[in-house]
Amino acid sequence: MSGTGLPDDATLMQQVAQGDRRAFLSLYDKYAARVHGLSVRMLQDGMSAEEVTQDAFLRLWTRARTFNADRGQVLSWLLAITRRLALDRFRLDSRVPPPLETENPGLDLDGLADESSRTDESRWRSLRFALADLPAEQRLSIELAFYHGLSQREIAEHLKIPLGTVKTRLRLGMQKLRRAWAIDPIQAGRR
Amino acid sequence: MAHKEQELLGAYVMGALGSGERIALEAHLGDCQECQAALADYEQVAEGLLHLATSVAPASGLRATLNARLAGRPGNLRSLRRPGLGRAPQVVFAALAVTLLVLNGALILETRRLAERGQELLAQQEASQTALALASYSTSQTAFVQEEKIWGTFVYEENFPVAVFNVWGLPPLPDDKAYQLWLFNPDGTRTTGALFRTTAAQELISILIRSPVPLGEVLGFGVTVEPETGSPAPTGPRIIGAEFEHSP
Repeated sequence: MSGTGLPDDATLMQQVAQGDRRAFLSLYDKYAARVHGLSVRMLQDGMSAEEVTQDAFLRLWTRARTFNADRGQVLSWLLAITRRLALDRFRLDSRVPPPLETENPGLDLDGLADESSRTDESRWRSLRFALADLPAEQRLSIELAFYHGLSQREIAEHLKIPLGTVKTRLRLGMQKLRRAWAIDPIQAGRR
Repeated sequence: MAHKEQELLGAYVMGALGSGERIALEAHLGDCQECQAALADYEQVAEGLLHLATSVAPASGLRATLNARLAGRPGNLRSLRRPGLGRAPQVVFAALAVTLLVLNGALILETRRLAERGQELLAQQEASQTALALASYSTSQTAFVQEEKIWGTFVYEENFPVAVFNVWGLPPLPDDKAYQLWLFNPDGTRTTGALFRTTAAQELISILIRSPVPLGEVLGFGVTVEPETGSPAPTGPRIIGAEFEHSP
């Protein structure tokens, strides 16, 4: 049980694994907007995003018994499934990545957790700021790799730049994000 | 001082490396604790990136659609109303929508199935062509393997970095698992040669194996069951494998 008296996510997942639809709907109510947000961010197409969101929750239903609470949170597990499904959709549709926003990366800077809390939300906050702070070309390369599943070579072809330049941008950008992730979340949130 | 391989970890956790770089990096990771620790950091960053998208509420009908599907009421699949249909007889549009969605769903499923089958056939064709090419060399060698109901052959030429593994009887795995073939290096480390799955319909499967070094420098191979995206080093028991008997 969580502090609110409601079952925690791990308990809900155990109940889902036993075929409890109410537990499933509780998780849906809690995380549907997060899952759909990632689908929309990746696919930028409402209809496809909704299909991916639906598929992600169907996977939650059918694979709940494979979830291991010792290896991470339900939301992270669900978002990882969502990303894989969205990337599959990219490949099936042979999609060309849409033009990405380099100035405004679509970050939810308003909907963040309390700065003073030492939770994962605080760390995601620092990561959000770090990503927003990256030079636009580094951020673009990371977004093409992570949210569109492009390899370094495919990014180079897509952007019509040398492969070595892509490698450098990804390396520098990810090193900065790693440093941001490693530092104290509260300090990061106040930057 | 950090290893040069650490420069690749950011691209690795996003799945952006080419296969050659990925295989070489995984070989290094299997043996380097410092890089494994750095990898854990980058994996956390990748996990964090999943959480950065702005929340967007899905269509209000999706919850009911899912609930109906779980309850086994396929007739309720997607009853989302679209703008502009408000004045039409609802039952007609509902029936039409259900029919179209069922057809659309069937088409999507069929397209996916064909695409997946196409990928499988391409991989099989590539493996078969490589096997034929290897067979044309008098110096090619074959390692035979057998474990209860599983048996196969590993065909290779000592000077080439590619080989073919033909195997019968490997059972299908759950969706979140895959077979990973490891090549044994003289220093005791393991390198990924292939990550693959089988289906119930495939009694025989031929897998193209890619090695970072000629097979003459590899001592043998083993197959384990790993998570569907593969592991940096073997974590499961060996299902089947063999030691190579290289020419003197």
